[in-house]
Amino acid sequence: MENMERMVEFDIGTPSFEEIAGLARMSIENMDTYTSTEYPELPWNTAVDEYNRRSNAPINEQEIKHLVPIELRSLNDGTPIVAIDVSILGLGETQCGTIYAIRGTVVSRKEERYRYSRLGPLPFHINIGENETIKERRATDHTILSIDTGRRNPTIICRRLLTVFETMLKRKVAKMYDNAVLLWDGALTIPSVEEEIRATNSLMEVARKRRNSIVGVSKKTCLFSLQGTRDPLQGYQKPCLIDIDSRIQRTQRFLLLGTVYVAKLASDGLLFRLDVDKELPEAERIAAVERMIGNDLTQDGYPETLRLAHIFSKFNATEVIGMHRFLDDNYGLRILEYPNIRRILFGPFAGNHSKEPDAIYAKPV
Amino acid sequence: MLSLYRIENGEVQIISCPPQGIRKGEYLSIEDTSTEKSLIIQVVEIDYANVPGILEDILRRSSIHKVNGEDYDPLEIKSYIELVKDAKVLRCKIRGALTRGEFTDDISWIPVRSRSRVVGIPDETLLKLINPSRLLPIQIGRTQKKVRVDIDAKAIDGSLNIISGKKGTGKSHLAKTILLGLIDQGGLCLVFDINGEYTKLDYKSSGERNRFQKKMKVLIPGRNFKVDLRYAGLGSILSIMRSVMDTPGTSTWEFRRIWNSLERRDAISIEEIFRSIDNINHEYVREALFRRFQSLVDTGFFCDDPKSNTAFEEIFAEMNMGGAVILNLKDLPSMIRKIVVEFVLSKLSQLLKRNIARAVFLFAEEAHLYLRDTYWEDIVTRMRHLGVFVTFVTNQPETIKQNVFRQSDNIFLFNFTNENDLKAISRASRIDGYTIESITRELPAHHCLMFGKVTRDLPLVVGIGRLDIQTQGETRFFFTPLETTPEGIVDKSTQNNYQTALQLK
Ligand SMILES: Nc1ncnc2c1ncn2[C@@H]1O[C@H](COP(=O)(O)OP(=O)(O)OP(=O)(O)O)[C@@H](O)[C@H]1O
Ligand SMILES: [Mg+2]
Repeated sequence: MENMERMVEFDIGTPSFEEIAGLARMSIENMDTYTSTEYPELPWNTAVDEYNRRSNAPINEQEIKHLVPIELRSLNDGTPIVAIDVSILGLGETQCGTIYAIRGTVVSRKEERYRYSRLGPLPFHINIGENETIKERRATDHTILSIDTGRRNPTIICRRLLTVFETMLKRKVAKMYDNAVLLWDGALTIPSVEEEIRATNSLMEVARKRRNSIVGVSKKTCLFSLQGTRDPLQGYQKPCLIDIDSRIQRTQRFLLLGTVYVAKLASDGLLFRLDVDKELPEAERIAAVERMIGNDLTQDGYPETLRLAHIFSKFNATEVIGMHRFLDDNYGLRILEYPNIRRILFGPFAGNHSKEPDAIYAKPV
Repeated sequence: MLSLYRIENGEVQIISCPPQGIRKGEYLSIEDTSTEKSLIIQVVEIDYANVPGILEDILRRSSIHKVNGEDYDPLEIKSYIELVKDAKVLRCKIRGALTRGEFTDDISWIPVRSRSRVVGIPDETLLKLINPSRLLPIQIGRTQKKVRVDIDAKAIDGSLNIISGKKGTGKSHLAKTILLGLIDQGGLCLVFDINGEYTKLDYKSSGERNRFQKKMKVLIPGRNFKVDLRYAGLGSILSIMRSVMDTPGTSTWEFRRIWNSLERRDAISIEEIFRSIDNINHEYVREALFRRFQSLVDTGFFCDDPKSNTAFEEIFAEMNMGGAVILNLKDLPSMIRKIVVEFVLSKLSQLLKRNIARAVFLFAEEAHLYLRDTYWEDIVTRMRHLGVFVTFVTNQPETIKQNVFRQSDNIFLFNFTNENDLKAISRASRIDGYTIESITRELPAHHCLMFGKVTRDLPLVVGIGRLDIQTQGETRFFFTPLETTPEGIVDKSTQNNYQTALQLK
């Protein structure tokens, strides 16, 4: 938490990677100095969460069928396609918090070649505090007592950490490219935290200024359920899009930075949800998708750059063990209870967004 | 760091992470920190640790191998991850235990994982365990970590030894090393030298004589090695006729009669024997004996002139400070080889029975080429009691009878790659087949795995030292490296400029 505080002190959109790395190092080095006095409750807008969680389709499937798909061309014009993905994983609990590792990768395709830049892994220690010593201190220290940190969902802190990191990466990329298509993982939603909103807005501005088109790609969409329904784009041999933006409820649309499409990018490919920067004129939004198809596509219709970015970012078991050794060798953090690596990686929070670490760390006295 | 991972079916698994460059054959000890006990284990196989996620990682990489890029890893965590990927599992066999510094076979206890410490055993410590007395050292080489290895001549004394390995791996070289070591310790040796490669052991590679000058006697059957019929004696000749020449019973009986009657008249000579054979009435017997005795005489090995006789007693007497008789069997027809060996072995038995010599170390190269089947049994039993201690050297382990293998005291194994050879050895040895197969398969040239009395049954990998002797007759190649020197072209295979091992003494 203490470090989260420090992190919040940065303008969320501007920390450099060096600063983040420094912060990571510091967060671990200072983990046993429990000095934080303030725990401001993060203003978490539950609306977005709620929105993402709803599995009942907010869109009427019947309606989709009546929408006319837009046929897409494949525009192979050499536009750079740049995908960004980040990953976070709980490495273990300490006496007063949790250690998370984050990693992010940028994969670009330019002149028919793929390149990656990978940042991390960076382990962070986040003080959360739920153990006896902290409770005792809480009893004597009023400032701490005033906030019930123990019951706060660590998911939120994790997500904040990840957002800061991801925003930093996205910003770097947006500044580096002109006339590129930038692929982000997931929907383009408005963040819930004040600073994050500001950061995201400025990030979008930077991208737009350099004529970069932002496309959010969601592997799974909960906008509508396809179960039991026929693929609305069945029968279409060419890649196509359906603009479903108008069918999204007004309250929800308000939270989006993009225009929402259902897309089938290869003839026998899967359906994806694409969010394309709302501020672009429609023709440019469609052109952005066509350039993506033309310059970076796999057979199953999922952008290769983004697939690679996922692969490069995801942690595996060897890396988890390696990071445990790193923490042991450099900070004397011994694992008290051995984690079940499988659970870390494939447990309830699988997909490398585990928020529930199994390892219990202790700093030897 | 080494950590005890698990013990399963007599196999101890140690995790080495980061890997420490430990090699197969090395010894480790698992020290129980709460007692003064430790288990002595030997690494017999090294595998990658089955780290979770490795497969995933490899598959992942294989799908992205064409992607270039860079990692920004400010905390340098990557090296830690690589370490984990490289972690090794050392599969070890328990070889014994130490209780307060004393070597014991009591390995009935199991170390407690949390209280145990796994450490490498320094070669010096191991060698001290193996050969504590160092009374009669024979220097044979160095461990993988280059610590000098001496074997105790006492461990060869009274023993049956086997040196095996595939062609050209250094078997004969080791046999020579041991032979010279035994001579230095005053031992009396006899070599069945099938390739004529022991004949210049008394020369340095430079061509000068060495300290074995007066201790070597090379015998070439038919040339400087002839035996008078009377010296050979009826027994030897009969057994040669019987076993080498397949003489039928009636004929041998007749020969015995002739011999005895000539002996009574003190008239034994080749001519007289022929005359007596000629007088035999029974045509079949006459023919049979004639042909055989003719062959015997044709060998040129037997004579009836006492002055030409080679008396082993006399040679042995000259070698009372140690020495070797080299029986050069090179280029001899198989039958003559067999006759000579048969004679020598029976003579040797007689001499030992009469205490002419205390004991003889016999080195037999590729013995299946000249040793008749029944002798194998004899060598490990009767002759051994008389004091013939054999070292068999062969690249065909299956030619050594199983019971000979089983009764062997010391085994020196060089590299083997042939499955059948490995099986033949594994089946018959005192250490487990897994160890043998795993280690010998990967032994580098001139390295052997030795075990038995010489190592207190702890299998040890040794790199055999060089010898400053003239060698010849070793593995011949069609393509030998040729080197141009000022004098012209020199065939390297006949030129040996090795540093002496034994001279270091
Ligand atoms: N320890 C050693 N150091 C240096 N050279 C060696 C060593 N051992 C053997 N050599 C050399 O290697 C060659 C082969 O050795 P050697 O004749 O002893 O092999 P071998 O196993 O007896 O072969 P074969 O199966 O033909 O009898 C020879 O030239 C020998 O001098
Ligand atoms: Mg040889």
